[in-house]
Amino acid sequence: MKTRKILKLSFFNKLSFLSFLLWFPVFLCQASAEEQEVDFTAFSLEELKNVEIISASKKPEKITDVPAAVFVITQEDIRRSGVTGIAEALRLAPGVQVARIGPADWAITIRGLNEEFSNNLLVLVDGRSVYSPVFSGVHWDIQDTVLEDIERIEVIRGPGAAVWGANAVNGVINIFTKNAKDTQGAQVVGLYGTEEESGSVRYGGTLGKETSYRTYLKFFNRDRFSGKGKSSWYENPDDNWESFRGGFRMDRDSEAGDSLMFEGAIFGQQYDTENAKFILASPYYMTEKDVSESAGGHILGRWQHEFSENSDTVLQCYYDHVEKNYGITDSCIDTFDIDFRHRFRFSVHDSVHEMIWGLGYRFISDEFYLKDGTEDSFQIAIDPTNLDQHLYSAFVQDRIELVPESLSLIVGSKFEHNDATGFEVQPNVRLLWTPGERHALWGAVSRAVRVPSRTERHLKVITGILAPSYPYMKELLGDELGDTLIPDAPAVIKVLGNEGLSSEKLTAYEAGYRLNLTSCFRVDSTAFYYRYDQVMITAFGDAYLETAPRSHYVIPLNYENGMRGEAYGAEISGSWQLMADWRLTGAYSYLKTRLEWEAVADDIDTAAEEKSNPSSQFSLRSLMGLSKQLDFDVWLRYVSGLSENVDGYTAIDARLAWRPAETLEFSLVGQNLGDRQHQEFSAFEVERGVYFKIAWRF
Amino acid sequence: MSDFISDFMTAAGHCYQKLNFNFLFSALLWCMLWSSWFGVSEVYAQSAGDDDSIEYKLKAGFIYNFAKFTEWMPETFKDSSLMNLCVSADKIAAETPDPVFSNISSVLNEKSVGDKKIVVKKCENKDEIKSCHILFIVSEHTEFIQEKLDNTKGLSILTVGEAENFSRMGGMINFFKENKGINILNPKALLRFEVNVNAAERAKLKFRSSLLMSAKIFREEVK
Repeated sequence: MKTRKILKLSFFNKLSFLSFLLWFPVFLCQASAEEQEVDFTAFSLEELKNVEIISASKKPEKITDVPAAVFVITQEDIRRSGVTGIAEALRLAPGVQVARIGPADWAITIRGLNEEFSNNLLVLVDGRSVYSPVFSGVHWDIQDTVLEDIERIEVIRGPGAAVWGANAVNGVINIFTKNAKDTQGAQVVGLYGTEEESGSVRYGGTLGKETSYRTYLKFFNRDRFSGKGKSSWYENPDDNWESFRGGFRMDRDSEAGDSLMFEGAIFGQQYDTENAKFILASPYYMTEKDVSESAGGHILGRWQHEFSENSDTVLQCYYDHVEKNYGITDSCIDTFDIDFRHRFRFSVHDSVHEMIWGLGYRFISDEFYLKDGTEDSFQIAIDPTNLDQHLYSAFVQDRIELVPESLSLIVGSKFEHNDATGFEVQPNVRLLWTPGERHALWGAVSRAVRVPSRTERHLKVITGILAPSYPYMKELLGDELGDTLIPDAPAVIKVLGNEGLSSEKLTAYEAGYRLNLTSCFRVDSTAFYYRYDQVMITAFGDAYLETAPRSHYVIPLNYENGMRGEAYGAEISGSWQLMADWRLTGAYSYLKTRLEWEAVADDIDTAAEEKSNPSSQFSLRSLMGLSKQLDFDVWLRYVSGLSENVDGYTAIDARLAWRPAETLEFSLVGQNLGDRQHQEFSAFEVERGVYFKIAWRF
Repeated sequence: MSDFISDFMTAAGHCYQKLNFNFLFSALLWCMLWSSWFGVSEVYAQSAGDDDSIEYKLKAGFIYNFAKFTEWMPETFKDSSLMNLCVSADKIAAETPDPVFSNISSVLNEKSVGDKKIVVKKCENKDEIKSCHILFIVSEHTEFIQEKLDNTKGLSILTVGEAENFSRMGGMINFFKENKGINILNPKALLRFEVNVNAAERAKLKFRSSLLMSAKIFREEVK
């Protein structure tokens, strides 16, 4: 019925409305372009040297020239969206599914199955991988920095494995902080609101003519989740999430074509949590209040050398240490990584080649032990408790300009050797066609793999318990065990890691079209079809009896490469500069996933897997400058429901900022204004919030 | 999602019908559509290469500073209050979508350096070049550059170029780009320039220290 009403708009009306939408930006663009005219004769030589231009000679691809689904979240986007963390900032990119699971947990994925550790997404912060190969995922709670010092976040949807390596199956998120040169002087940021409070101090200076540095300190406290959920049984935990972090970055850019970067940080944080405890006697299951702590640090160095306009190299090295509580266990992970990359251009006959090749080595050492004060537990074990892993990788990629300025082909592959699955090859082929300045069409076929994580291979953990009185115990245990049922033995459900797992494989077909109608009206659209094979999943195995510490049955959930599946969807995003200081951006993404068992023919219910991602997401932002001092920004998001338990929601954020001076900004932000609270993934409910923020540079 | 959109659209549709706005609205749209047809071609031409056109405007800003910090022989401007800036672009450069000449002249034409007014001209042959004070050679083509540089021999002309071997060929100030970061997606670059002091001395030109301080110094190898 609803659709019929829309059709009431006559053909004439629709046509004129469409034409209006298409032509209107052309009209308005002209005015804004003229207003932005700068008089460069008023600049000094040193000022001129700081003006950024698009380097055309070297072709370090413009976004429009990249044959992949790329979206860049700029510093301005972050500032004007009012987000207070990196995980939340990712909602700004189209096609990224961000769902808050708990006070300190997010499920973030791109075009994939979403779980807390959405295991197919690679995340890099200034070149350092924060993807944990131990848990196969990213601990979003410990990823943070001074948001004002982030330069941009590049989000690549789709396999980025040819360059970035394994586990970049569904996408790559690249977070870049600013060059120390661009963060000179002091900056103080304070935030106080209904959901959180935070503060940061940063100071930047120079050491000699070519070296600059910055140091920073940041803390936050997110402790006010106490609202009662819609479902009467669930109450948001009051979590007292506190975090401290401090770090530095040094940059040295010499005229000789060398640049050096040195960066490091340490952090510590904690939040209240509840651990599940299973006992083999009544009441079988209980929860214990606990504090989850984590701490760590890293240090990274990078040396870039430019031989000429056509050849440059990067050498990067880092060490990272993370200690983190994981339920009743404590983990300690050390990572050492060294990477080399060389890029050069050459011509063969008439075609220009841009070749990039690289080598990498990573050493990961982990150790698990039970938390201090925890009794020896039968419910969790990892075998072996400590493990050293070595990862060797190489990649090569060639970009060939088949027709100058119009058609280019990219062929590349990553070759990797890891201790879990051995040798992995991940190739891709991409084609880009730019028929004019305003259009770009691209297509890609790529293969990527996800290597099983340490937990998927070695962890044994109890996730559920059935009391002996459970009525279907006999059926559940099967004929053999069921006939000789021990009366007071409970049954536990135990997830068992599998050392024989192979990696999950993805073949991806993607296509995209970009349109730059004018400099102020841009549209970017992509469509994709993914084929997954050997998807890792847990499946029930045959139950058995165990006698220690006392008799109980074990119903095993074994990890196996048991499923295959497919995913398809489309994303469209656009940006429209209506006036010099009014911009609208919008995005819509659609995703459909389907999984099926590879071996079993009968239909086992896999609905949970299918619906762990919203099928539709819509976002519309308006960024408006009311005057030179005043910004008013509104952001509307709609995310469709996941299942019967998690409904779709509409969230509205609004921000009002006042800048009495260039260096001083006051802002008032309202988040999730649409409703008092809503679920995003789990029973946890995100609440409406308001905060006030001061940012001052001097 | 479709439910959400259709709810929204229905609500919007109701509003218009209630207010009987439909006719007025579409009439207005048609007017705008047709009127916009006339303006479109012009707008397209202006916005072409919007992101790239900044490069030559920026270079013009540099050239303005070069003019400010270069000393010509006093007799050069004996009977003229004009400073001639000649732009010599080869065929390829002239045909690029980025209009080099119009960008430079939009920034510099009629601007004054001291008491001299800048005049931006297109120069192609030797005679035209003779009257220049500054010659900007927009080309990466070695033969083209050499021909123009040869034309300036024995004259007090500040030569500015943007080719890799411009300084080695005897050009005085050469633009080059420095990439900002090496990320695959990073499109940003900064403009830099190198100065061949020996070449300037031969043409009896002197650079002030404020120019040299911002420059990379190119030294000719002594044969």
